[in-house]
Amino acid sequence: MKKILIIEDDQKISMALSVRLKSKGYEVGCAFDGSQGVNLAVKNEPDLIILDISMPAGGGFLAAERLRNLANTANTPIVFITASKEPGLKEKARDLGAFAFLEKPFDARSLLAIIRRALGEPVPAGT
Amino acid sequence: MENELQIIVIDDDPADIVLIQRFLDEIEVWEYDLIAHNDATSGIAELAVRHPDVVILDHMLGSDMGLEVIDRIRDVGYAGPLIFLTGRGDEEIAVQAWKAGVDDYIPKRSVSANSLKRSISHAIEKHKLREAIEKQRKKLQETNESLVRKSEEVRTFYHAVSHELKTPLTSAREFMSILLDEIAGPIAEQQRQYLETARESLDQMTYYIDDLLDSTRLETGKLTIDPKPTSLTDVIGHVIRMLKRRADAKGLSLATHVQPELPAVRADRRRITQVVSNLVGNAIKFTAQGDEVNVRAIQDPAAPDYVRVSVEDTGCGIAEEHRERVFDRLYQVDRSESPSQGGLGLGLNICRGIVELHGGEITVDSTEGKGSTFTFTVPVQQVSELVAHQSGEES
Repeated sequence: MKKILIIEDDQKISMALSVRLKSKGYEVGCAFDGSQGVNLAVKNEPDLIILDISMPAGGGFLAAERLRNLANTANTPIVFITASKEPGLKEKARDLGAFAFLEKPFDARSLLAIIRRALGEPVPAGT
Repeated sequence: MENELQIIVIDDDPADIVLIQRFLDEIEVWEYDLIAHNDATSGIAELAVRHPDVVILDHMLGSDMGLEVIDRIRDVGYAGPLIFLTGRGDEEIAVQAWKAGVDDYIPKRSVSANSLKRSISHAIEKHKLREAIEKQRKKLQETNESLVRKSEEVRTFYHAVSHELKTPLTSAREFMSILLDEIAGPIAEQQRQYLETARESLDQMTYYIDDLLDSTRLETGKLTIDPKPTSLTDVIGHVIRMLKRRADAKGLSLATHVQPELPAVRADRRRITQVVSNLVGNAIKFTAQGDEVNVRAIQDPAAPDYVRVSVEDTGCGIAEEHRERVFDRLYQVDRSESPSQGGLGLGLNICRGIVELHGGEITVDSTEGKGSTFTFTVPVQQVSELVAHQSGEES
C-alpha cells in the first residue's frame, strides 16, 4: 500500500483529503505544520507528500527545502496546494522541484490523476 | 528688510571688503551687520556656528579655489543664500558656481551699490523660492510614498481575504465532492442534483473572490500579462465547452462562427480565456430561455492587424445612458430595474483592463429590448515577430 503524507494546517481540508485518499486505498498520514510534517516524513518515508504552502511553524516552502536536504526524503514527489494567489508561488514551487502545484479549491479528480502519475500508477481514462 | 541684515564676506583682498562696505552704506534703506573673513578656513568655521542672511564669497581665496569652498560651506551646514564674486569676465567660473548652487554672482569690476542691492535681494528671494520648491517636492514625495504604501497594504489585505475565504471553501467543496462521488455511501438522484447545485454555488464564490483580486491588481497596476502566440479558435472552443452545461440548463444554444484559418494572436492565453468566458457567461446570464448566444471571431477587415471577437446576446439590452459606464469599476445594472442578476460589477472592468493590456479595445453595441453585442480586439501575432524570435533563438 502506497503511503501519502498530507501536511496541511487546516484540519477540515486535511480530513477531506484523507477520506478521499483512504477510499482509493492509500495509507494516509497527517501533519498540521511544516516542522511536524518534516519529522513525520523522515520517520514514515511516504511515497508522496501533499504540502500546503501557507502554514505556521515554517510554511510549505521551508518544509520542502528541508525535505530536499534529507537523504530519505530528497526524492519524494511533492504536490503543493495553496489558497494563495500571490505572484511567483508556482515558479518557486517549480524551483524546489515540486511534482505539481494546485490552487485551492482544487478538483479532486485532477489531484488524483496527478497523484497516480507521480506514483507511476495507471491513470484511469476520463480524468 | 525688516531686521538688520546679517552678512558674512569671505575675501582675501581687504580692498574688496572696504569697497563692499562702502556700497552697502550707500544703500540707506538697509541696516546691516557685516563680518569679514580673509581666508576660507576662518570663514567656514564661522559659518559652522552662525547662519547669516547672505554670504558673499570671493572666487579666488589664496590657494583655495572658490568652487571647492562652496562645497565646504555647504558641508558645514550653511544652506542659505550665497553670492559669488568673480574676476574679470570669468563667465565660465560663474556658470560652474551656478551649478554648484550659488544663488547669484557679481563680476568684481561692476560692483556698485545698485548691483550689490539687486544681487543680495535677488539671492535671498531666489533662495526662499528654492526652499519652497524643495519643501513642496519633499511633500509630494512623502505623499507618493504613502500612497504606494497604502496601495500595497490594500493589495496584501485582499490577498489575505482571498486566502482566508478560499480555505473553508475548499473543505466545503471537497466534502460535497466526496458525497457526490459516493465515497460516504450511495446517494439518490435528487440528492445528487442538490449537491451539484451547492457545489456550483461554491465555484461561483471562487470566481467572485478571484475577480476581487484581479480588480485590486488592476487598480494598483499589478495586473500583468505574458503574451505568446495564441489560437483564439482554441480559446473560444474551450470556453464554449466549459459553459455548455450552463447554457443547456437554460435551454440556450451557443453558436460559434469562427473564420477558418484565423491568424494566431499575441495574447496571454489564461487572461484572454477569462475575457471570453466572462462575456459568454454574461450573455448566458442575460439571454432569455430558449434563445441563442452567438460568438464570432474574424480578422478585422478594417484593421487586419487585429482579430475581432464579438459575443451577441438577445437579452434586455443596455439603455443608452448606461452604455458608456458598463466597463466602469463597480458599475451594475440597477437592481430595481433588473433584479436577481447578481454579480459584483467587476467582470467587465477586468475585461477592459485585460484587453487594454494587450493593446486592443472593447466596446458594446446594444438595442434596448433586443440585446447587446460586446466586441473586443486582440493584435495578430506578427510573422516578423515570430521569425525574429526564432532566428534569435538559432543564433
